[in-house]
Amino acid sequence: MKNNTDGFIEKSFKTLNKISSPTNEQKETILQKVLIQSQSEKVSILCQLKNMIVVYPWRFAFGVSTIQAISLTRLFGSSYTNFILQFMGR
Amino acid sequence: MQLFLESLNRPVDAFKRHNNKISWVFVIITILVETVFDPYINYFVNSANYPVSIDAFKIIWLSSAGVATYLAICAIFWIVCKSFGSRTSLTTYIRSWGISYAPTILCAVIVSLVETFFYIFWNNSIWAVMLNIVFVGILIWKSILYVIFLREIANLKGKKLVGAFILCGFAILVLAFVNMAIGLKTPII
Repeated sequence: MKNNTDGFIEKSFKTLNKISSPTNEQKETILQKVLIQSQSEKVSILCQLKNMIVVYPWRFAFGVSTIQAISLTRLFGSSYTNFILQFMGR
Repeated sequence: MQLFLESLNRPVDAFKRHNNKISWVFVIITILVETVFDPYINYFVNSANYPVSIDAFKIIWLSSAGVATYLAICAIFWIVCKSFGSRTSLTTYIRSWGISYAPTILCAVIVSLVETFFYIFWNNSIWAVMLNIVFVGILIWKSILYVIFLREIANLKGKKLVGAFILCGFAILVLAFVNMAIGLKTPII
């Protein structure tokens, strides 16, 4: 008697599973939707910048440093470079 | 090697790993560059031109001062961050802060080379701009690691992070001046 009940419950679950699982067509549609959504989802500029700084921090640091050295040396000449080196060297 | 590259490229993951070994290896390399590499390279390159002496007592004294500075900065981080509500233990700071020493090692090596081979860099505008890029880059790199450390290890955010940043920054400046005064050209911080 117990075995019959177990079998009945098992069958019921199997039927429910079959009904609730999506068909192949539905799966395809879901996949398409997810792909379109992920393409259209834009990461904010602030988040991108934060990622750029946190991952490979040396790359960002030396990049910014190069820009400041070239632009400020062009503006103030060698006195700027001398000031920085004097400051770094005590 | 993988852990070393991780500390350079993905410091957030490296800090969270709290790898005691890599932390102390970085700190000891920094100290050895300043106390052993620097006097020896100066001795081998310049001793023919002017008298250069190597003092064993000075090496031991500066190395001890370097280790003491590292422990002091970790203790300061712990006290300041604790006052801002951080629950991180002192040992976690000691196990983690050394991971940020890659730029410090680079700085120590470059300072040593520049001082030893000063005649190459003397009155040379191109070298001056290059050194400007390197030193400011190292400063920015270390500052980024400092902020990441306070966020990830001390778990501070917003105003608390800014407050701890300023207070610990002041302590860093004081320790840097003390280090320079006793003869550590690149502060062990």
